[in-house]
Amino acid sequence: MAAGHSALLLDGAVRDWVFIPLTLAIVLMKLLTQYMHQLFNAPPPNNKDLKEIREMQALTRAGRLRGFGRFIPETSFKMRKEYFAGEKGLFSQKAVTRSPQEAMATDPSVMVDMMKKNLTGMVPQLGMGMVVNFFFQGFVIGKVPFPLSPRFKPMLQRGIDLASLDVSYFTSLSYYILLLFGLRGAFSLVFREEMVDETAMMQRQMNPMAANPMGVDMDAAFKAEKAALGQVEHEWELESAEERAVEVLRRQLKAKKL
Amino acid sequence: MAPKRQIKGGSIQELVNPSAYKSNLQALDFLRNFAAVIAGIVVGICGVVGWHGFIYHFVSQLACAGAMILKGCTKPSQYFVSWNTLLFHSALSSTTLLSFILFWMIFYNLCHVF
Repeated sequence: MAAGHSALLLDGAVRDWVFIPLTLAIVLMKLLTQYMHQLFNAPPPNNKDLKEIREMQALTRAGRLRGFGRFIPETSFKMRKEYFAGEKGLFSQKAVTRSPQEAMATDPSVMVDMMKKNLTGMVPQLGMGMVVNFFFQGFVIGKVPFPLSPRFKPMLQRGIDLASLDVSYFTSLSYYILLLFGLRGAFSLVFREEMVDETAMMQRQMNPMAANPMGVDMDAAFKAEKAALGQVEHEWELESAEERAVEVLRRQLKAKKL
Repeated sequence: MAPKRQIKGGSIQELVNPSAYKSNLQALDFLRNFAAVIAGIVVGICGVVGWHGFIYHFVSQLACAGAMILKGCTKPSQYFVSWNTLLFHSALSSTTLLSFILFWMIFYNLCHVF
């Protein structure tokens, strides 16, 4: 094989038996993964009872009160604040919701859920990678259309130790990885809604504790919300509405005059 | 492409209708991805070799802004937050770039290497 410059002539058989089937196989596998993900991630049976739901709603309501308190008069705001953060208020009572650690230990459905997520996520991709590596090893499959520096050689040409082979040629394993990443974009065209986000899943794999979306630690959340409610200052928007209206009118008149 | 809805732009305070804004951005995203794929296929079939092939990708991304304007977005400040959002929202994102590279590679290999 000539060093570098002359173009390698690749056999048509490589194209027929490797390039096209590999592409098709990966596309189909990704489709399968996507559908399995959609099927398995139908909303899990919500086995929370009334008290837990009530507490979560109370947290939401308190947050809303903090955010939009300026739309209600002062006494109403104070009444609500008292209900949540007062001496005998909601947030002073002990939360009924279990913390996530207990939930994970006692609730088998959580384990099944996590296993399902793992199964439809990384495992088929890793498996496919091994299959590709096993079957299509040791030869060059195609050429990258732009020149690359020699640093890319080990990345693109695993398993081939020819020093004189042009860096632009790549093997099937690197082609597999490129397909995995490149098809994300093409698939987001077909599936308009949330795609299997691999980077997010990989991060979740590294961080199994942070991944649990259920059961926020309710006691800590209550304390935080109580402190936040204590800090918020209330100012009824109606009081300053006249001044703001005057501002608006003035600006409009100025704009019209010009 | 998803139909576009107008976001409310108040005169004193800017009010943004979040679901409309999100659907506008999604339409732009969809268009950008589509343009990246088509540009990759065209560039691959033409057999462009070398780093200047990427220029076609960036040109097609910026042309998406022009396409959006044709589609009815006459005042970008009303549909998107600003001109910059329309031009650069996912123009440099890695998904579009990787899709472009992938399809460029596939079609270049299919037509010119074998």
